[in-house]
Amino acid sequence: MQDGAAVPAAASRRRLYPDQIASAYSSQRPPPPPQGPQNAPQGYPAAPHGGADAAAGQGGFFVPGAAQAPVPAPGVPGAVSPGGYGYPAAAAAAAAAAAAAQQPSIAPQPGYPAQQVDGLAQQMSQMGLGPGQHEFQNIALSGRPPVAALDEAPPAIRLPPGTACVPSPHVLCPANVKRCTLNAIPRTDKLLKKTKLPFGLLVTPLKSPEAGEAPVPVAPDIVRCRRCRTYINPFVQFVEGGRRWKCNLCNLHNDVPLSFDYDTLTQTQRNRWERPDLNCSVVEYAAPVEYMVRPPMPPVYVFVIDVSYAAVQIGAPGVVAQTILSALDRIPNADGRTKVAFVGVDSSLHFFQVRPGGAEPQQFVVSDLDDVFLPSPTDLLLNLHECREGIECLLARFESMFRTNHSVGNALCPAIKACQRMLGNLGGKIVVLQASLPTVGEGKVDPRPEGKDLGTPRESELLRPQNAWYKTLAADCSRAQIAFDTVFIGQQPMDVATVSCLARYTGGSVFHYPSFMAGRKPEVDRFSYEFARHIAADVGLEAVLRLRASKGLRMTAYYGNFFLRSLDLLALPSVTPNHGYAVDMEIEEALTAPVVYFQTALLHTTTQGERRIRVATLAVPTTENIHTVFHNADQIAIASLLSKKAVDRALVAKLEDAREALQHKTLEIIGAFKTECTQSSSGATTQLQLPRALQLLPQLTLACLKHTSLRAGNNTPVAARMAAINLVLTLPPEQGLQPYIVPRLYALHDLPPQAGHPDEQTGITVLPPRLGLSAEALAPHGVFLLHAGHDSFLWFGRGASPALCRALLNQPDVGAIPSGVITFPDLSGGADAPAEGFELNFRVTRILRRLNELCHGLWRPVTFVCKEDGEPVIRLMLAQRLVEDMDAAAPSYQQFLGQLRDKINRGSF
Amino acid sequence: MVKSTIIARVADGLPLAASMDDEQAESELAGYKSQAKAIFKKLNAHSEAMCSIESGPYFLHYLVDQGVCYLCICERGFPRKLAFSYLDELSREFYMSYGGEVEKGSLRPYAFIKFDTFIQKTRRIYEDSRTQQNLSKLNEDLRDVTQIMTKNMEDLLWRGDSLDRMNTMSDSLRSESEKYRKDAWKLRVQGLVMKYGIQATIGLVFVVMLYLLFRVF
Repeated sequence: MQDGAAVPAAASRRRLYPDQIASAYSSQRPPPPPQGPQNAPQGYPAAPHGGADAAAGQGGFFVPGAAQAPVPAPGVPGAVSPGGYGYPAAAAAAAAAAAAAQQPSIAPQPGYPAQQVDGLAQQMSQMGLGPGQHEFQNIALSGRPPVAALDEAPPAIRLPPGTACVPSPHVLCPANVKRCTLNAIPRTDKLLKKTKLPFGLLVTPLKSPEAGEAPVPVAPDIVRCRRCRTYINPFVQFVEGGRRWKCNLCNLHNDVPLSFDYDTLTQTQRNRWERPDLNCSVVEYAAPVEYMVRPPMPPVYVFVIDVSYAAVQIGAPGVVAQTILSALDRIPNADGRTKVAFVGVDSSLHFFQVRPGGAEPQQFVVSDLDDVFLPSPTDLLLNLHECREGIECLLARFESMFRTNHSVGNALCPAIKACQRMLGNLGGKIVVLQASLPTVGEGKVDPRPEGKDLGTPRESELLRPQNAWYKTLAADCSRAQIAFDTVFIGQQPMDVATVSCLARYTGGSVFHYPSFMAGRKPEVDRFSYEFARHIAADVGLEAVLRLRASKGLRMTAYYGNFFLRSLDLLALPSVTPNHGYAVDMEIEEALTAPVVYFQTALLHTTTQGERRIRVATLAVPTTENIHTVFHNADQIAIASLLSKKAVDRALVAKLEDAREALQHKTLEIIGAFKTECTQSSSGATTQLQLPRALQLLPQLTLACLKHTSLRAGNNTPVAARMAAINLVLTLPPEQGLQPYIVPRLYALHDLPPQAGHPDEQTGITVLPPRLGLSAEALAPHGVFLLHAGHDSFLWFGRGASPALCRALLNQPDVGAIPSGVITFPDLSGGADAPAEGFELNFRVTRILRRLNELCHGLWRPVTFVCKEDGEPVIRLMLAQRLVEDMDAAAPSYQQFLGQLRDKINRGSF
Repeated sequence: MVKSTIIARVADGLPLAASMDDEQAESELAGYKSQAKAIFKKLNAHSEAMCSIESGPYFLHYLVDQGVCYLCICERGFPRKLAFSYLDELSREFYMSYGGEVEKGSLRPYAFIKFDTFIQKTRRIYEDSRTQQNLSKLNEDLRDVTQIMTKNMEDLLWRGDSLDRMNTMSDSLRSESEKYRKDAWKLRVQGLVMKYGIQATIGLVFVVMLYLLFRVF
């Protein structure tokens, strides 16, 4: 639903008279308003431009205090000069009035007469938005899922006019920072229960600006509500002539600080309407001393590298050291304070000491693992800038140092204990690079054979940590601002489920490279790119995330990697730009306001050593109409929230339960829509119907069910499943749902002329049309690209023409193309124009680059070459990603729809 | 040895830089750090330029130079001469690197935190008071530390308070004594009334009657 019908009740609560506002700026006296701002409904006081304008233009009409101030020449900034430095009250009022007068007038909007919900049609016709029936369109589910809708933007948030105090284009919170599953929120819990839709938020607290986007604006000083500590935001209302502001979350009136209108430092007027925190929904503040318990910490990285026999066999230590060496310049080090440390782990611990300025690293081997100690009190934690030479020397020699290491066993836990001691109260990030099972020391893990348990209910046991040591330690470390990243390399059993607890409770990330081998170049390239990118990322340190919501709403559960410190406070020792958090919301008491608000505040230290607060405010209208709720649902957000809930459930309950719950929820939603919003509310129906905004729900559910994280069957190794679960749990919907759960499929033999070339207006590479994720789309004469984020597939049909093979991969024909893993070659050598005869390769390279950009460069997928009659393993992997097709454990899309329809018709859900 | 170092602006007590103390002792020092912050709040342009303050097992030495205060928390046994020489070294380097930016109005807290690297480096040089270099520093009479005031933390923190308290006490004493004087006078009058009231009244009535009698007759 894209029109005003979403918020009819809200729109009715108008008390702004555009004519009046406009005339306040011209020198003519406005005609008396039809009703004074005093008549504004209770709890919805006059906006500042309404109230203050009246005061400025009509002299004593609204607030006596403001009226006594000299009336400024309209539109002339700083017409009123404050009475010296003393800044008397009258001057303050004058300044407020002047500031109000400086505000750019709102473009006259179509009239918003006071009308009730009944006036819906009238309003719509007045707004010139047509009948609006298109928005209430129901889609009959049949045949193929409408894949084109996957790339559509979520339903627009329609706020009643005047909700924001400044008419700025930036007051709407971008969906990739924060989105709500319902863009029209039911007023009562009863209505919400009736729709069965999940109500929650998806937050990406430290979203980094994409290429071409402006950086987050920085506001000058922090203004917060006295009672609920909400930060001031574009949705507050100014009352009493602009001298107080009404908090939009708790309705308390707060004083507006003098600094809003007057700069005491330079002794000049300020225009409060230019403040970033009144113009933008996402702002940053530089935190003053009160927000710091200690000086901002430097970025600290401790690399705990597995150097046992298992790791040396696949060449992990060498590649890791080389990657770190090449990324040393990219590790954030703006202040020259960054510290790094390296610990090698086999059945004993290897520490490395470098004296500042010295070139010779010194190795200490500690083999007393019962009571682990640091071999030297200093110089284990190296200043990256001062010890650069020594660090480079150490990393260059790292591989040769351990090349002949035959020590079996891994003392990860004592190593972590030692690192914990090393970081002490400083905090930092411990990157665990693991290639074997931690078998030595206190928190050791026993190997768990998984072979015969896969696909049985006992598999769920394997997803649970073996002992509580890791969780307890992670909780301790979270308090000391220590975060963990766990990187699993190779195919040895590593008990990912147990060890990844370290990352789970400290806001860290989990990486998994099962097919890594130092000899496989594509795998090494991929690891190097992703790992280097990860350690070079601009992360937030020692962070806390707090969520606030309007009265009547309550957060009930959170999903993601964090440690929950109190009901609305997540402790994140480290937060990366590509970590999202999902929140379950609940309506505690009926909502009365036309709009509700959600505010998140992330207090963090940047890698530049600045303490900052990032505040994001989302405003969502409320409604009493069940149709409006359904037609304004955000299916991507809903599927993302449901998938996060499902994998979270898989970790605590059974996998089967998680799948059941997900399927049941979809069934409930479709059932609720059928009974509440369609004519065939009771009795059987031949075709299921869903609102346009939810038309993809069955497909998204099916994709979640078939994804590695939840897939049934016995061909998913536990390690891969755990890694997938962690990604689903932490990634924001822009990466996590698409392309990670729902891949993208393109036909390369049949590219439209524009595809693969930059768009003329935006300069962004145009993508070809998406195909349905079904083997039916794969024509035998064609070549197809399937992009799933962290891996991609090139599918060659049996009859693909030699010309196509030459233009794409410089191979004579299909038979000559090697099956298996490749890095997609750029035959133009990175040039800006295609090399002779390789135009297709050039275009596909660009398309791939654009697809990786869409994932914020998080992954560098290896490309699996899959031929129609090629290796069955790769064909199986590809088939698992074609989610519309039937496989051994899950139905096809049509069958799934049939099942849903039968269950709904039977009413047995 | 030097436990912790903080550099702050004198004008408003804004912390500019501090050492990151990676020792476990951080929690022990927390109380002393807040004392240091209290000292920054009390400082103004007229405070002593150098001072040592005794507090529990530690000494807080500070030095004010060009509107910036350099403070370090040291163990009791650490020679004062070394401590001040350390602070002096910091102040010179700090002034050279950031001297011009200190007075800017829109400075964020810990704006020069990168100075931490230098603090750590210098601290290491001064770590052991018995190294040759430090011994020679001790012997050279670079600084006459005997003239630097030594104060007690308790005194320093509470002195201002006790003066205030004295003031209010004397104020209340004065107002109360005034009240007592008034009360005493009232009481005396009451006592006189009680004592002679009846006789006086009778006398008065008698006189009035006599007067009336004489008027009438």
